[in-house]
Amino acid sequence: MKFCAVKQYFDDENNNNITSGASTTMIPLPNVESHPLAILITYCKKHLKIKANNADNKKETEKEMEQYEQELLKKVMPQELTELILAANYLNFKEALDFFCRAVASAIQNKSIEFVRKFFGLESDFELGEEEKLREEFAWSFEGVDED
Amino acid sequence: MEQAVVDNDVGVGVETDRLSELQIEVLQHILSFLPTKQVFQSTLLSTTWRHVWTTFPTLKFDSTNKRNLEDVKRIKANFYKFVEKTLRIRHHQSERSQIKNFELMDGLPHSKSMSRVDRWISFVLESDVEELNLDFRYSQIDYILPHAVLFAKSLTALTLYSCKLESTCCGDINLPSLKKLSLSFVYADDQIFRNLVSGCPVIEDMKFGNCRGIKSMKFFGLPKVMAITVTKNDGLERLELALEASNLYYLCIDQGSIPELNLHLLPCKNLKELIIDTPNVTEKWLDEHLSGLPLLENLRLRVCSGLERIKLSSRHHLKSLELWLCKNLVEVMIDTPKLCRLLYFGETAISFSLNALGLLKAEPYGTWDAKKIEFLSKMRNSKVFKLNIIDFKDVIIPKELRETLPSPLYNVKHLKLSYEKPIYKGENPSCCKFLPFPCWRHCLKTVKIDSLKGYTDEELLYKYFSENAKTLEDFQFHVGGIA
Repeated sequence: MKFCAVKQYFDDENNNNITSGASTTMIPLPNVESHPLAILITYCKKHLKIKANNADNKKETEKEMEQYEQELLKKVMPQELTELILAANYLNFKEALDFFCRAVASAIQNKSIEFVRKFFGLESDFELGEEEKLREEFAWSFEGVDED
Repeated sequence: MEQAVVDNDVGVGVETDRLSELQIEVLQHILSFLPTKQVFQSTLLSTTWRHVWTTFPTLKFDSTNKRNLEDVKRIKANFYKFVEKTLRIRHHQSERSQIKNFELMDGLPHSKSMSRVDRWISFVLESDVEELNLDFRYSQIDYILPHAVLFAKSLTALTLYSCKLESTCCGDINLPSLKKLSLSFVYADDQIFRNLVSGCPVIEDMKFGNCRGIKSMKFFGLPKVMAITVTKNDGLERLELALEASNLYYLCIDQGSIPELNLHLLPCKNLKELIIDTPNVTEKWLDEHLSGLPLLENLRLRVCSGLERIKLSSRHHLKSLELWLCKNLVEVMIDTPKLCRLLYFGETAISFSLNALGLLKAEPYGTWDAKKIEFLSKMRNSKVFKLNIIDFKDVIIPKELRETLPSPLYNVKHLKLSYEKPIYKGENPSCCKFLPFPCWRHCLKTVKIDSLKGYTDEELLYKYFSENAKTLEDFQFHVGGIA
């Protein structure tokens, strides 16, 4: 189901106001910026279109969808992905959320901790020496990681 | 709201941390696409991420060091320290988080190391594990599975590789949620097998491969079973299937010659795929089952030396038939429009009659001789013809034969050649002007060549086919293998 949060809003609206003209209703989305929203809408439309084109053939749908996703990723900057995930999550848009999570994962795959921190804008808030201690205890999980 | 900022010096990044606003489930979803080691490292990102990691439901530990063999001892020691620490952190959590999925691959050097693994497993069981995968193939000793595993209420999938199930400490087995069971290279005995069959009421998929110690296997009850695989179990003397299972759709029996084999499959009306590798199969059994199982689509018969004749008629509903090395086979008669795929590997000096209008794929093996050409001519109705040969010179039909027999595959539109050895230079074959039927050169539309050796022959082959096949539309050359 796409844009579940929005659908819910419509349902509520219809319950409250029988004469509401649905096509011009304004829905407040305080947590979503216009840019990620635009991308999500495009994604949704494309997805529905591909699905309609390949009604019977599931494999074709998946293949076309993958091609589209590859194209989309080339246009989106990695740092925008965070915003897109937040937007998709707020709007309860499962397929998009899935896709962007995978995209983020492949962007940070096998990268070092420092890289990942920078990517997400995280600050290391460990106490002095705590990080060293953890690194030593988790030494095995640091074998064979790419440098940036 | 903060805008994203590109730091041109060092790389990409965002100004503030927005990601941590997401729920833990979303963050864990991102982590689920990453390799296990990186998931573990996420604990060091920041203190908030620590919680993401310590409640992560999947734990996969693999101590086999595939890359470098130096410093193995240190790495092993680190590994054990790491697993201990990971599990201990969870142990001390105020709210025990579920470990949904646990995998351990470890090479145990001696029996003293078993107790450590026992401890880990017992903790994992207390965390309501659902999928448990234990692989001890690199161990020097036989790991004895703790009794508690076979009593785990939450377990839905159990995969064991190379360990031992001991009878004395097993008693009754009770796995009320187990859906998938896979035992490979496991030592068990008849009692344990019986207990497994009766102790897994909702089991759907059972696999017993290369197990030792079981002499007699009887599958009965099992109302929800969908797939059963029994392959290469050493010392198996008796195998019986007496299921009323109307859900069984896949059965594979690969046990070679077995003293006592009883397969009552007629009640399994939903059986779709059947693979049998044993000389015990008789023609009567085959005929009964082919007519009595209307949904059977794929049949593979391997080394069935009890079969002399195979007859398929339109009352059979098979879509795909594979015959491998049935050395006593003398006659094969296939007359059904439903068959789409035929694979044959064996002697071609047999009487072969094929009338299958629906045949789409035919795959014969072996070397050339007059019989084979006759054999191939039977396949002429197939739309896709796949020829698997070991030696390329086998593709060039010996000149003498070419002149005496009509080209057999005049209707073949797609030719898929799979070969292993490098090409031999072939002579230019004479064309079909003097033969009653147009030869492949005038019909062949696509050629797909699957070379396991390399690209070197591509030009030669392309030249050969484009010069000779006038109607060629598509030529593909792959290294490595196409399906």
